[in-house]
Amino acid sequence: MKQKAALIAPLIALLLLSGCLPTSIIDDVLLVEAEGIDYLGDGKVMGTVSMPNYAANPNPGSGGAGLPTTASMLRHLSGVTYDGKSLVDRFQPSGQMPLRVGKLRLMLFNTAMAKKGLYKQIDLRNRDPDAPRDMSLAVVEGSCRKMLTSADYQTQIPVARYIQDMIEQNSEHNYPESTLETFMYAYYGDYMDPFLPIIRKQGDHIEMYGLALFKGDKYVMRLSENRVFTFKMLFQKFSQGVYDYEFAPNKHIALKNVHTNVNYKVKNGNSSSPDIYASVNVRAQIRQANPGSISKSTGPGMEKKLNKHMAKEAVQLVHRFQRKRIDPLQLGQHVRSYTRNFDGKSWPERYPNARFHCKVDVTIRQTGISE
Amino acid sequence: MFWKNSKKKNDQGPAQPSKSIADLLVQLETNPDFNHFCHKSKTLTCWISYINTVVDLEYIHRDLLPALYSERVQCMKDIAQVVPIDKLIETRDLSVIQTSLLDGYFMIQPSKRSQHVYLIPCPKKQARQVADTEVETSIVGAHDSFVESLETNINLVRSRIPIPQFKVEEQRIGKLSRTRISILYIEGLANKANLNTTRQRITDLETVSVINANMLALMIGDNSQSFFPQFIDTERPDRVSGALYEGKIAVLVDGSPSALILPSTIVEFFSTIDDYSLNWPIASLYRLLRLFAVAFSVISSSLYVAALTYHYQLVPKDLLATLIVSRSSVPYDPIIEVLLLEVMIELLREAGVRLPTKVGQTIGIVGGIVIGTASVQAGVTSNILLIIIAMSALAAFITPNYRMATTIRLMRFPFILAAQMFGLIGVGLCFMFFVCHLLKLTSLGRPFIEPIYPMRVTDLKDSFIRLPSNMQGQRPLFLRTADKNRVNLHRTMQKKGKAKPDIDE
Amino acid sequence: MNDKIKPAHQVGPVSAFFIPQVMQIGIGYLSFQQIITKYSQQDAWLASLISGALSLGILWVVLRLLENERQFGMPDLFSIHTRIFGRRIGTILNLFTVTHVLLFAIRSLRSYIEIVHVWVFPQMSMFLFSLIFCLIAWYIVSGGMRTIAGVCLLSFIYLVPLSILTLFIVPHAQFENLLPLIDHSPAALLKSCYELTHVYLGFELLLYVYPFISNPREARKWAFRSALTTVYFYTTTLILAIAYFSQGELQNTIWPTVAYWKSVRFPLVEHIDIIAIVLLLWATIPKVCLCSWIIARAVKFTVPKIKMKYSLIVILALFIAGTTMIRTGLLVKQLNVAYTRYGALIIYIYLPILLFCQWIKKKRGRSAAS
Repeated sequence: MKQKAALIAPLIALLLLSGCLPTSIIDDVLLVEAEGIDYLGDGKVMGTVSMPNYAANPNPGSGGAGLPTTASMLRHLSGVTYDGKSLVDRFQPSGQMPLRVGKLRLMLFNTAMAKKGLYKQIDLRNRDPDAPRDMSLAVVEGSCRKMLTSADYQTQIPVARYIQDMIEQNSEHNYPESTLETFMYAYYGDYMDPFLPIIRKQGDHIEMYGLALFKGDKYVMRLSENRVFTFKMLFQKFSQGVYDYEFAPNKHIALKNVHTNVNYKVKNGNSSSPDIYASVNVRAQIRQANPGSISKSTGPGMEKKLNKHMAKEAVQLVHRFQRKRIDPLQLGQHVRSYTRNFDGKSWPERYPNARFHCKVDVTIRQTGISE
Repeated sequence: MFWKNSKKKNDQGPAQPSKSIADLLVQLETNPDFNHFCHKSKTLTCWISYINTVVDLEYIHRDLLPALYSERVQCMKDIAQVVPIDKLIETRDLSVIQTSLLDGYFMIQPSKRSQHVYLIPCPKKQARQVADTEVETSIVGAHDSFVESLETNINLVRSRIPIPQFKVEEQRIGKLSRTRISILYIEGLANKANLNTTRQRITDLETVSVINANMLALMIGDNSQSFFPQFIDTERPDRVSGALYEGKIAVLVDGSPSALILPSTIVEFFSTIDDYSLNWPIASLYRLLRLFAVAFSVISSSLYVAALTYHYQLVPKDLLATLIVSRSSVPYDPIIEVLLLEVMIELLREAGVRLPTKVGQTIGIVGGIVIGTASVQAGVTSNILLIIIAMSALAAFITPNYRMATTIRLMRFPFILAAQMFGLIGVGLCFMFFVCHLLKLTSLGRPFIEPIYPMRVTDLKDSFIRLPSNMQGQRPLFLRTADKNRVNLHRTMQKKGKAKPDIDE
Repeated sequence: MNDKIKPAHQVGPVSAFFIPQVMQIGIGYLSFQQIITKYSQQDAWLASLISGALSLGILWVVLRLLENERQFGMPDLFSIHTRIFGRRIGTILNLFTVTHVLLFAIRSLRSYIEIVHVWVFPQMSMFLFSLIFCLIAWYIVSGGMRTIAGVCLLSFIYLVPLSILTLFIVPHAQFENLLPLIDHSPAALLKSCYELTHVYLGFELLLYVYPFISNPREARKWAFRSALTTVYFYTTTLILAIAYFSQGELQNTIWPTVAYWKSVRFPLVEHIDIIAIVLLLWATIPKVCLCSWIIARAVKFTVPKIKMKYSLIVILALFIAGTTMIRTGLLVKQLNVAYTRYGALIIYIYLPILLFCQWIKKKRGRSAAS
C-alpha cells in the first residue's frame, strides 16, 4: 500500500500542477459555419467567414431551440489575404474568442476563384484533421461575400445552413452528390475530374444553377440545369430525380424516376479509341404530362421515344466533355477497371477519341391516378 | 509489533471468562437486572440466577419456578424429570456458564459457590414481525423480508428449502460481542473450497464486534480497498434460497436484517428477483436497460464535460444551437457547472435518506423541481445539463442493490475530473482503470466479472440477458458446484428430440 | 525459475485466440492501406492474403518450436535458446528477441500518442500521458498473466465496434475500383507483402506466453483461428479502403481508416473519429502490458534474483523514456520502418532457422544416445 501511495501521490500532484490542455469550451469559441473565397486577382483573395451568434431566445418558455433567428445574429468577417491562407488564422485577430473550424459546413468559391484553381484550398482542407469530410462545397456565380453577408433573404435561417440544406436536398434529387469527400475522391483520383454545384443569388433567394465541371482543380465548363439529370443518370444510381422531356414543341412530359441504375462495359481499353458502353435502366412514373399525351396504351411508344432521346442526350454530353478533355463522369476509371494492364500514361490523349455508346431503357411504371 | 500489544490488551478484556464462578457472580451482581437468590424448600436447597432482561420471565414464573418449587424435586437430578423443559445442560465449564447466562439461560446451582450448574434455556426473543421488503421491493414476487432475529431468518429460508441437505453452521465472532453468525448452504451443491474459505475468513476475523451483515461483508471481502461491494447483500429470503439452490453460500448475522450471498459476480448486482417472474425476452430487455442505465449514469456527465470543454466537434450540428444557447448565460466552465449540480443532487439524496419519510418526499420535490428550475433561471447551470444530471441520478437508482448504487453514484466523480484533464481520452483512461480494477477483483477467490472474463458461455445465459429456464440446465460454472446440472440434461434432451407434429396434425 | 507454471496462473485455451489477435491489431490498422497500395494498387488485398498465409505458416513454425520444446521443460523461447545454444549464447539471443518486444511496445505506445497528437490534442504532454498509461499497465501486470489475458479479451471486445464502424462506409464504396483483378506483377505484390509485415506482427509473442496457456491441443486450434481472423479483418478493411478511396486520394491520406470514421455521421454524434481514437486506447494497453510482462520475465530468466515486480517498474520507466525521446512524427515513421525490418528478420528468417537448429540438436542428441 505504501508503494501505491508513493506512486499515486506524485502523479496527482503532476496532474494538478501541469494544468489542463488548451480548451475550446463550446460557448467560448466562435464556430465558423461557412467560408467564402472570392478571387481578386494576382494571388489575392477576399475571404469571408460566417459565424452564428447564438443568443438566448428573448421570450422564455418558447423552447430552447435557439436558432439565431435573424441574419443579423450572424457574424461575418471579410478581408483580403493570399490564396491558400487559412481564414481562421486570418480573422483570429478580429475575433473576441478563438475561431474553430470543426463545425465548418460550407465552403464557397466564386467563379473567378474556381477558374484560377482550387488546389491550395483543397490542400488546406485535406490537411486539417478538424474539418469534417461531409461539408458541402459550391461554386458561386457572383460574389461569395455578398451571398454570405446579405441580409435581404426571405427566410430567417442562417444562410450557411440554408445553402448546405439546399445542396444536400438537391443531391437527393437531380444533382449528383457533392461533398468534400466526393470532391477529393475525384480530385486526387486518376483518370477523373471533379465537379461542384453552382449556386447563385437571385434577388432575395438562392438557387442551384447547374454543375461546375473542373479540369483538375480548374473550373472549365458549366453544365446547365436541364442536363444535370442526364449527368447524374450516367454517374450513379439514384432515385427521385425529375426528367423533363419536350416531345413536341411546347408539349412536355415529366418523368419522376423511381430507380435508375447504370452499367458500364469497355472494349479495347488499350486501343487508341476505346469503346465505352453505358446501359442505363430507368424505372419511372409520370409526374406530369401534356393532357392526352399518355395513357397505358400509348406508354410503350413514349418509352421508345424517351429511350432514343435520352441516349442521344447522353452521347452529346460525353462528346462535350471529350472536346473539353474533362472526365467528370469518371469514364477513365471505368476503362481502367475493365482493362487488363491498362495504359494510364496515354489515357489523356486517347480519351477524346473514345467512342461512347449509350443505351437507355425506360420503363414507365405508373401514369398517375387518372387516365 | 503494534498488533501484538493490542492483542495482549484484549486478552485481559472482559470477554475472557472469569477465573471462578464466584468472580463471575460478583461481577454480574452489580447489575440491577441480575437475579441471584437462594431457594430453600423442604426437599431442595439451591441457588438460582438469571438476568431478567434477557430471559422470558413469564415462562419462568408460569412453568419453571412452580415445577422447581414442587415437592417432587428431591435432588438436583430430579430437575430433568420434573421441570417441563426440552433441554437441560449440566456443566462445569465456566465459559459456557458465562455465555449461557448472558444469552438468557436460567442457572441452578446446588450451592452458592458450586461450579457444577444446571442451565435451562429460556431466552426472551424480541424481534420485529416479518414485514414487507423495503430496499429491494418486488412487484410480483414474495413480500417477506428478513428481520433482526437469526432464528426467524433461518426459518424464512428453511421453509423454502425443506430438504435435509440444507445445513446451517453457527459460529460466534467478535472478541467482545460474540455475535452469532450462521453459514447456510446445501450440502452436495456448495463447493467445498468456497465453504472452507468462507469458514476460514469468518473464524480468522480479528474484530471486537460485528453489528450487521454489511459490516461483515466489508471485513471478509477479498479487496477491502475496492469501491465495489464484493458480496451481494439482500433482505429477501427468496433470493437467498434461490442462490442456495444454485450452490452458493449465504451468511446470516444475528441482529441484521440482511443476508450475504457468497461468491457473487458483478452482473448479479444488477439482477432482481422480478426478472425471473417475467418472460425471458422482457426480462432480458429490462436487464439490458439496467446495463444501459449504469453506463449512462457513470459516464454521461463526464461526456458532457469532455464534449463541451474539448470536443465541440462531436456535437451534432442541429443540437449545437440548443446547447450553446442554454450555456450562454452560464458564467462557469462546464466542469464547475457539472460539479455544482452533481453535488446538489448528492445533497438532495442524502437529505432525502436521512430525513423522516414524509419530510424526505417533500425534500425530493422541493429540491428536484424548485432548485433545479431556479438554478437554470438564475443562469448557474444550463437546462440541458439539468436534464442529463437528473437522468443520470435516476439511472443510478435503477441498480437494485443499494451498495452498488452508491458505488455507481460516486464513480462518476473521478470520471468528471478525468474528462476535465484529458477530455475524452481522460474518460477512456479512467474507464480503463476501472475496468482493469474489476478484472483484478475477486469474490471469495472467484473472478468478479466472471461471465465476461473468463468467458463462460453457459453463465452468459443468465447475465446481461436471461434465457428461458429450459436453456439453463446447468448451474453457474464459476461456482464449481458439486452437482453441475440443475436438471437431468439427458432427459431434457430426450424431450427436445421428440418430433414436432406438422401444422394441423 | 521453477519449471512448471501453476494451474492457478494459467489461462484457458481461448486465450490463444485473442492474445495474438489483439497483439496484431493496433495502430497499424489505421494507416497500413496507404503504404501497401503504393506498390500493388487495387490488388493489395491479394498481398494481404499472401501475407496472412505466410503468417499462418510462421505460426505453425512457432507452435512446432514450442511443442518440440515441451518435453524438455518450459515451452518458451528463453528455454529453447538456452537449451540449444547454451547459457551464454542463449542469453545473447534472448536479448536479440527481447529487443524486438521492447521495440514493439515503444512503437505501439508512441504511435498511439502520435495519433492523439494529430487528431485530438496536439498539445498533449507526451510524458504525462505515457506516465498515466504505464501506471495503468503496471496495475494490470502486477495482477499477473490472468489479468493481462483478461485485458486482451476486453480489448478484443471493445475493438469489435470499431470494425463495425468501418462497415458504415460500404454505401459510399465503389467496388468497381477493385477491378481488374490480379493485374500486378509478383514483384509488386511481394513488395506490398513486405510492407504488410508490420500489421501481421505480434502473434510471435505466443513464444513467450505459451507455457501459461492450458490445454495446448485446443490452444493450437485457437491460435490458427486467431491468425485467420486477423487475415479476414485486414483484408476486408483493405478492400473497403480500395473501394472507398480513389488510388490518388489513398496515396494522399496517411490515416485512411480515420478518414472513414470521419465520414460516418450519426444523429447523436458527429466526428466519430475522436471516439474511435479513444477506443483505440484498448488496442494499445494490452500490447504495453504483455510486452512489459515478457521483458520482466526475460530479466527474471537471466537473473533469477531480480523479482518481476521490481524489474517491471524499471521496464515501464524505460517505455516512458523511450516514447518521450521520440519527438517528431518523422522519427515515429523511422521507428516503424526499423520495427518492420527487425520483425520481418525475426519471423521470416530467424524463427525457421531456429526450428532447423532444434531439429539438428534433436538428431544429434539421438545419434549420441544410440
